[in-house]
Amino acid sequence: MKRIALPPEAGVFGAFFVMVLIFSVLSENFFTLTNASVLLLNGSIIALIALGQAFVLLTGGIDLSTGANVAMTGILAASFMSSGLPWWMAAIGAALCGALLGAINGLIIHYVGIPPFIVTFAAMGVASSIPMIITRAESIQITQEEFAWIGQGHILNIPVPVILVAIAALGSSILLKNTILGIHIYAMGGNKLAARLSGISVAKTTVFVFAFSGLMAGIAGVVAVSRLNVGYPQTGTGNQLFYSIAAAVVGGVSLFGGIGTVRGAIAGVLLIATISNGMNVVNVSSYWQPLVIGLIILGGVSFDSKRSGRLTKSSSARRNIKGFFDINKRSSRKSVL
Amino acid sequence: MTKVIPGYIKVALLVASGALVLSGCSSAAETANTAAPTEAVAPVTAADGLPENCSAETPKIGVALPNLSNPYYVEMKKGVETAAAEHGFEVIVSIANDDIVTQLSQIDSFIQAEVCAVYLNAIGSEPGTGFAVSLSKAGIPVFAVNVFIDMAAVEAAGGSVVQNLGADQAGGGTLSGEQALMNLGADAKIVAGIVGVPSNLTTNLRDAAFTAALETNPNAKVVQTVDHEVKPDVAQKVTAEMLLGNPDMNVIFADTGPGVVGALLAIKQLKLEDKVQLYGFCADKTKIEKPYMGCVGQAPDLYGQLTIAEIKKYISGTQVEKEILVPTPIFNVGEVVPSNIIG
Repeated sequence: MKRIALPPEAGVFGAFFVMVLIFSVLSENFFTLTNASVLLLNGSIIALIALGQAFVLLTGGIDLSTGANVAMTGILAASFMSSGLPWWMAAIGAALCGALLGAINGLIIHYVGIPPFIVTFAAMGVASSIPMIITRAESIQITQEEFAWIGQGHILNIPVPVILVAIAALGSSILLKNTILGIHIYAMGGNKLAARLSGISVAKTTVFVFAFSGLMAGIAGVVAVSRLNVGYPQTGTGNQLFYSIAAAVVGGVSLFGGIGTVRGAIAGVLLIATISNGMNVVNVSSYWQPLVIGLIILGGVSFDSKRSGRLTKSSSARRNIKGFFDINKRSSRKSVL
Repeated sequence: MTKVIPGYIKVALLVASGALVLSGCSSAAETANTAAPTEAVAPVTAADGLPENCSAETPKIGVALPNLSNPYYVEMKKGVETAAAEHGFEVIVSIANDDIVTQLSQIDSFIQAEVCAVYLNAIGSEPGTGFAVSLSKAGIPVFAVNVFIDMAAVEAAGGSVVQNLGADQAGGGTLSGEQALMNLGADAKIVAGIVGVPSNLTTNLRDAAFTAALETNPNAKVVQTVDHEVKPDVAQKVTAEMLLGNPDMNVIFADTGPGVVGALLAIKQLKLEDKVQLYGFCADKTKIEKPYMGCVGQAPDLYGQLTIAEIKKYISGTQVEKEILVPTPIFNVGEVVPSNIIG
């Protein structure tokens, strides 16, 4: 009998549906359109950060500065508006500042040779200080009402942040699956040295993934401030960073690089957002909530470690290596990024 | 004479800091009168042996604050500096960035500098006890602000605390509960939720007092507490989820200013303005209007000024109270919260 090959994300999607079922049984208030909307809206910030984080993880790196980047870009957007810039220009400018922070991370990681963990940890300190320096810990009121549309508006009854996530996910997925850059990202995560030897520009790929992560965090910062309608210097410095990494990893994006999909990362976000939402809806004590989330993340990372171990010994690893050399052939035919 | 903190106290504080980190208690809102109430409230005067620096033309006061990322401490610092200038003190302000070990080294520096007195807003009550013991054994008078220090424990270890001063946290919760009952009716059916910080002893005091005041009405019940981590974005998320899980809920108590901001947005997001009333500790730059029906506030700049004035009195030989609980002012719909009032 022919075995049906399930996609690698089947497990996390399965877990997501099981959690939906459990919470629906526990509370009649969980499985409602209103709660679905709230769940997706609340998950949108984590989803945006997780998408950027997934790119970095795929190259074998990690970006610890994303939460602080959310705080920084949110305050920058509010400050830009206070200084008289129109709301749309302030939003774009703030998101680009996020990308700039990420690009600087990437440049330091590649050219100075410091591990991503250290560089982005330092960047986290820098980025979280900037809002404090600008605001002296006070909040900044948003004076342009149109800005609220980004975080509170709807298109065809769908919240704008959810639409932004959908667009970002679609674009990311196309980029990873259908472009040479996407192939380079996977190749770098699979084996950075081999990628370099095969002519892939590790510098440009590294800078790109960190800049992309910064851009996604920047957009998340703009969305967060727009939802609150106030620039608050500590927005985004809570569990968002932790949850975004966890969501990507639980969704099958390997902490060791080279493995994972956008679909998986989004599934991970859905799972974590559902659990986080469901526990409040069914009134689980907040003392227990971090324990539950922590165990789920631990399970996901343990599974990832086991899988990574298996893959190095399995035929799929051999396929990856073969695929990698195929990539090299294609890369050599096209200009390196 | 210069004294340093003994090694065993440092080890104990390091262990305490580790425990604090593990229990996720690094929030700025940890700071307030959390120690057991002191029994001795008799006034005290400066005995002989004040530090030599107190006789200087401009005595030095060491000021230990937990952080400056919370507007609360920014205001407090302003109050301290204003009062110090007025009373002729030089202040050495040290910010611990919510790190107990950093605060420990800052306390050590105050001892090395042989300051006249220390204004101690410790990161936590227990480490604060150790700091107070070290300082007082070095002959430096300790004035605890916000985070009350257990005077009996300090005295048992051979030290002393001159004064505990801070907001009446429980009083603020009680006032909020009474305000809700006044608005809705003493026997109205009330299903309430708390947007709190369950890992934080200070906000727990506020929550417990609110619950006790509200539940004097037999038809009132607090059914859920959610954790907002003193962040408005988190407060918005958890409040929305709590409201969805409890369709009967008609009162919310948010125990910090950022909590009020987020809870208010969640109520509006779910279009429950006509059904749910919000009470809490005052939010920065937020109008008190439906559904935000009232708030109580703290005045950190006032606590800073009062404490510096108390230090002045003490070193001048005047009696000071061992404990001062400053009442929390209450504000209703239509009233404007002064800019120095913070939730």
